[in-house]
Amino acid sequence: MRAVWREAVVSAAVVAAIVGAVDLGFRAIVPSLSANSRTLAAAPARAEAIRGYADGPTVLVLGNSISGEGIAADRLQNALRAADVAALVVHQPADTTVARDWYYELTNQFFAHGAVPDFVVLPVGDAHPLTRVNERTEDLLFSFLRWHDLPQLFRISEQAAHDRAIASGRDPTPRTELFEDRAGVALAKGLTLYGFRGRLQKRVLVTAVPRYEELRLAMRDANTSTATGEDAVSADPTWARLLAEAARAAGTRVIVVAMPTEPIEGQLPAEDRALADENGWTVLEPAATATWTREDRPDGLHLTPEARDRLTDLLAPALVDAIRAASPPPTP
Amino acid sequence: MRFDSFIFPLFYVAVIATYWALRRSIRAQNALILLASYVFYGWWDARFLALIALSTAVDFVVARAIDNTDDERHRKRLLLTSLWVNLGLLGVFKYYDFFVGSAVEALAGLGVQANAPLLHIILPVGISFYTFQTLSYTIDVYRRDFRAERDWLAFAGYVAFFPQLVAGPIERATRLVPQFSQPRTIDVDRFRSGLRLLIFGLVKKVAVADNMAPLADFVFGQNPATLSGPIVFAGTLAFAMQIYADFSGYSDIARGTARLMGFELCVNFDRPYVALTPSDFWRRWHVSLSQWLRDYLYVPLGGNRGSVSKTYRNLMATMVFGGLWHGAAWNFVAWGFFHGLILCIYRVARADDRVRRATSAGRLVAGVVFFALTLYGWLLFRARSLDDVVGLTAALGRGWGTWELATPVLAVCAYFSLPVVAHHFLGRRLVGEKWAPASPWLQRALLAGVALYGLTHARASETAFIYFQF
Repeated sequence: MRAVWREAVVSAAVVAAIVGAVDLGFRAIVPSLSANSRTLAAAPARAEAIRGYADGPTVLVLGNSISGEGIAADRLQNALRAADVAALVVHQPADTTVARDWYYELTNQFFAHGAVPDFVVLPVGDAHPLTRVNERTEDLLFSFLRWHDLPQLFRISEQAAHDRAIASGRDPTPRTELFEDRAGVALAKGLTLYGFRGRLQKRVLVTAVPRYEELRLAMRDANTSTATGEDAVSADPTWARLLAEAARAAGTRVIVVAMPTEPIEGQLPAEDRALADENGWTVLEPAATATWTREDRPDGLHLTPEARDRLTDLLAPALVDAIRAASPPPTP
Repeated sequence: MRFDSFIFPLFYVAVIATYWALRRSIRAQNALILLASYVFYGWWDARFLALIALSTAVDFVVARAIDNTDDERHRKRLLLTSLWVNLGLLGVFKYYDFFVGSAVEALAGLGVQANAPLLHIILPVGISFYTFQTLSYTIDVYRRDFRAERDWLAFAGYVAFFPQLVAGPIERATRLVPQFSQPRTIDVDRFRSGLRLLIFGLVKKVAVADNMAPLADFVFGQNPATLSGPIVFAGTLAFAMQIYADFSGYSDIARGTARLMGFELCVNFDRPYVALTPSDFWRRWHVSLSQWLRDYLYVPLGGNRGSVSKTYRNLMATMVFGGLWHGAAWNFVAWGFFHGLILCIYRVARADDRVRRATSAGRLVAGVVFFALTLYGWLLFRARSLDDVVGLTAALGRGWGTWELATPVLAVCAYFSLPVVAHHFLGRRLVGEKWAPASPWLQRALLAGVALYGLTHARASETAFIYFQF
């Protein structure tokens, strides 16, 4: 029996050592593999830039791939400066789009480091807030989360699950799965390798499988059974409210920008607008004044470089107005 | 509780540490098995533990009463009591709504308005498995193939044994009950092979089956009228890989966890997709169910002892019943009927003999033909309704010129099912249970490699084991 226990311990140690070594290897190479990881790695420098800028207002765009290919930060900054607004525009286009992730990103990666932008811009991309799947957001969430955020995350997520169960006529009684979900989240937070697997898999599949992206989008569109949100400030209004509270407490103003994706075409969906109004956010819809074709966004979501410049040029004056409206000129 | 849940490793380590600490007392170990099994099952929904307890109590008492009497009429009455209770539970919880609902629909089709209340009860997980297991015990005692167990703890442990409680293998009393009365031992080799089975099974589930599930769901979730042949083919192939990796993965985990406790469970799968004929397939797929159906249904019906027509009738009845065992829906009946039909056709054509004598090329053709038939069977199995079966079958006949999304579906399917394909075609020697490098360090490294594969290929969201619903 002793030999069996020894074997169990040695086997566990060998497995842990090999998995750990590979994990460390992944930690080293993943930043060069993934755009999200590069963005995350750049967050401290961006926070430092906001913290150290004193010549005018600071604008943080908490973006995603849609804004990453839809808003040209340098061009926007130049346009603002040309309009006598000496703003610093910092774009953080990590590939996440739900208010929950933005809340943790803003509080933990910026506010917690003393980087308090005057304005934070949230780009809202499409109009299916309750029926979208975003397989990429979970591992990003674990990068934004700190350990002491877990109880809050559990409490709010479980309350939302409870409310959804009641709304759909299911038994809302908490079951043992809740405990397992909590363990799973904690494990995912603890294991970087585990957290990165989605991105690694996607990179392999995108590289190796012809037309994989087309399949992924078709599968996403066909799946209407999940309440996980993508591209929505309102997937769970609690997170938007927390974000609003945190921004208000820090003195940051929130600006929501409707992006020219299909099918919203630059007009904020009603439920997102209601949420923005409730929280006192500014809504900008500059793209709604223009016409956007398939040539501008071949997949219906992401703009071509030319279309990105056009959107940026449309956004700049609206943003200038919003900044001026929020910051009254000094009295003579 | 699911094997691929985060709570299971904690549960299992706690159980197994206590279990081996109690190795001086078989009864204490059996008591722990029973307790752990009830916790394992009750973790899902404790209310349904009452059904397992009822089934256990009835069969323990009835089998002892059968064993204690030579009065054949009394023995038969006792057997019928067990059959009524067990099949009654199965009937109420699994089939009542299906049969009553179908009858009401059929009457409505004839213009007769009938009103019958439906129960809308949740299907208790694993009810078909433990019901068949207890039934086989009582029937074996009735047939005098096996003496009734006198130790209620051992018997209750046999019925509820958590490694195989919810999705099999369906263990025979003759094989498993005696193991509850014998001292159990474990050595380093058994430990390693048990752990290997457990890890390999988990990887099959989380890295293969769970990645196949969204592909199959995507295809089978659509309106068949909008689909073409290639995408239906690709989706069905994904489902074939999913159901094999899912179910055989569960069986591997069950065997591994049991082996680490000193028990041996039967081999439930043996590379079924290399089968060349239907009878070959059923010797490789869900072997414990195939053998159960053979011994407790096909043979009692007369098997192949009567006329040719009766043999075919018995085959069809057995396979339709086997289909219905999988679920209370007409597409499962159609799946069973289809397999019965091809069993009969292959039998008429004496295909087993022909395949045995065939050249390598002939065997290859036989393998491809039978795999295509197996795939069509999975289409029947996975379809959401008989209407969808018709629609999907029609879709198979059109659009073979444009592969559109079928290409990426097939490519993703090929990528994630690589371990299954390797296992099938490179054999057990390479990746299966039998294979183990001589060096213990290589064995541990292999284990780490498989664990790494699972960690990096596991799908983010969990998908329940398919066979739990049966």
